[in-house]
Amino acid sequence: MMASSYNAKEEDGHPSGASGHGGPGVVKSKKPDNTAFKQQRLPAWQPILTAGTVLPAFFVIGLIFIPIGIGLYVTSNNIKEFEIDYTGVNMDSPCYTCAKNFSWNNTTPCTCSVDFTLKQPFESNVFMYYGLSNFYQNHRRYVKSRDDSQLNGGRSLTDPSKECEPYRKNDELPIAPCGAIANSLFNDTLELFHIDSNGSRNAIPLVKKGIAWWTDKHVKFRNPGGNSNLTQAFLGTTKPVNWRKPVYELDPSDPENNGFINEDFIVWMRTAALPTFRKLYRIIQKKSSTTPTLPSGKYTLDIIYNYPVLSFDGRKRMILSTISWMGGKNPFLGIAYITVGSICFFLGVVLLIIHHKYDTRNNSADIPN
Amino acid sequence: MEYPKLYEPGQLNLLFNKREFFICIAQGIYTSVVLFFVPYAILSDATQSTGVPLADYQTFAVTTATALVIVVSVQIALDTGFWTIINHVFVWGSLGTYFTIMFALHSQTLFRIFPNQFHFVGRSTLLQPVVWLTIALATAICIVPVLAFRFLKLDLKPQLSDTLVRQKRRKPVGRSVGGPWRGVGSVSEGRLGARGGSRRSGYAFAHQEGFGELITSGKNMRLSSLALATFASRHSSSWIDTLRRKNKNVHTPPSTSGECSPAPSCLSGSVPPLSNSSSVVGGSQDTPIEEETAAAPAQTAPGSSSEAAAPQGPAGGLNPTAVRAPGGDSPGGWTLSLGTVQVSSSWFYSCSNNKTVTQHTITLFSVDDLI
Repeated sequence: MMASSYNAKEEDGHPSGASGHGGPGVVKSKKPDNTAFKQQRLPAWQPILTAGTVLPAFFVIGLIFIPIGIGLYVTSNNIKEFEIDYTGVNMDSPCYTCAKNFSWNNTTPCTCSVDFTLKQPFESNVFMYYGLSNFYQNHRRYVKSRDDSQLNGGRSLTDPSKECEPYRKNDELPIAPCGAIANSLFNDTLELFHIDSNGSRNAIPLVKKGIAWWTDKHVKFRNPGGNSNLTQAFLGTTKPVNWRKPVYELDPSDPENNGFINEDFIVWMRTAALPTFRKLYRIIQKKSSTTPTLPSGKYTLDIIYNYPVLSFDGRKRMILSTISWMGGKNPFLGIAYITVGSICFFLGVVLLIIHHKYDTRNNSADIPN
Repeated sequence: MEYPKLYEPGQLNLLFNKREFFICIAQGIYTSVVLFFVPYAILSDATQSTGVPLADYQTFAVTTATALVIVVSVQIALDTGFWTIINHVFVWGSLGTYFTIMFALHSQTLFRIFPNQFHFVGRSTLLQPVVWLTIALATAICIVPVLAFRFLKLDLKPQLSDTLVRQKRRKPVGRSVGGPWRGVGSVSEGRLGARGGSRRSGYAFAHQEGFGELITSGKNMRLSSLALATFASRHSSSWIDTLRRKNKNVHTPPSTSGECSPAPSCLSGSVPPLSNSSSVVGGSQDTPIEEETAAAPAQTAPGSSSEAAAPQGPAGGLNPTAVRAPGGDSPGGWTLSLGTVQVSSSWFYSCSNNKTVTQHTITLFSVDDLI
């Protein structure tokens, strides 16, 4: 968007010899060398903002952004999403009693069920998220409270870093995994059932692999001493304060998902940037191309309510969503692109009018002698 | 020092004062707000194509930082007036260094060595199209207003330096020799640049050869007082006419290299016999100034007609050629004024062809020596 002219200046490659090449008593000349660099004669490209470059640039930006915005908006509108809050704040909410009667010493878990209806069928892979509100995972002390070398299966298993304080040792035993992030692991269990026309409940299969970042699961988080015999590997450590089970019992049925490499644990350890966030919980695989993954109809969500949020006025919710090439439902992106593109285009038109008017006015004015 | 007015903004503190400072601060605030809230709004709901949400701390940070670096680089590129090789190296180099360092910080090797300091984000953040769409949007929102303001300022209120650059741009590059600001052009506001090379600066109308040589040589002191008086009375007003005519003539495309407006009569061919009263010159061109008689070098003394004839000869011979030479000049101007610089100056005002003037002046000086 710049008009350019190339001013090629000849380069004098011979530095002018100082006049002090004579005898030893001659004062060296202070004149700078006659090189292109020192005499500021380097070849340069000089862009200028002219109407011929700026106005087309505005129109081009507008013409590029508007179709992109339209594409993004249309794609986002085709994504289906469903959200339901199950915190249990109101008295008529199913999980009200669980929320109210929460205590840390409960041995029997509290369960509740939430019914909902899907108006539209969900096709292709459906992703199930849990969302939290008013939970500041981006608090500075919270973000620092972890020990990545311990989580990498390193030597600091029994000697966690100081950053984990006060969740570093419990009863003189080192905590594995240490830190406040690990301590606040989300431990609600959600199950989905479809109520078909007969009234019978059909459990919907939920896949728990593939929900974490690949680099996290395979590089960053490693079990100490391999994936087998974790009980032995974690000898001498204790579970985090707020956990009900130790880390090597997170998923005993699958050694690839136990210990530090448990995917729910890894997903939780990746701190969210905003106080209202959602994390991937399970994936519902698509069955076939003809039947929708989740047909429209009645559903039930069974919750084992382990996670208290009412103490800090937080909220919990469950989200079901389909996915496209650009991710989940994100209308803001499409609208923003359309807005910026049209503003750019409009600005280009306005500038063109101003420039044209000023141009004609100037040309018709009398030129003073 | 060709355009002294260029130093004005510096002396008057026009380019950096309190107002400009606050405008800068306002632009900084606007950019900061945009660079935070645009990724905030987009990434709060975004997910990868695998369903994994993108709202985590590292992705947000990388997106905002990359958008910041790119916006700042584009702003610097807009501000750079002359792109030498050094500018290219530093602007593209800084972008490249940023990405290099970021990839290095997020790599596996550093994580293995210092797992607690380098959190191993991995390169997957920058592979998401949503991240790049966010960066492009933030850049556009930050840069488009700046571009619009600059263009409007340049168009509606161009400063002297801007017009000069544009004038220089319209002339063929070959004309400029040496430094960046050399260029023949007028200083009018904006549009009048393509007028032609002969129009000089508007604020000082005597960018010509000047009368230094003439005056210091004393040649113009030869004219008799009689002639002088006659000339002075008759032609003081015509000096202004000469100027006006010169300006008028300049508007027409110069057919000859130097237009001389009313070439003071010079001589058309035969030189009319001199008389004390001088004047003469049958001005070949329509000149209000007739006296000049350039041809009449010898108005010195009536007694020297013979000698007058002698110089006349060659001078006369010179004159016609001078007249017909483009930019016909009146070589005889030097004879005129005995102290009337005004009159003699009219000769030289009339012709902007310095070379011809000089040549003929020199020639006639030599002729005069013979007298």
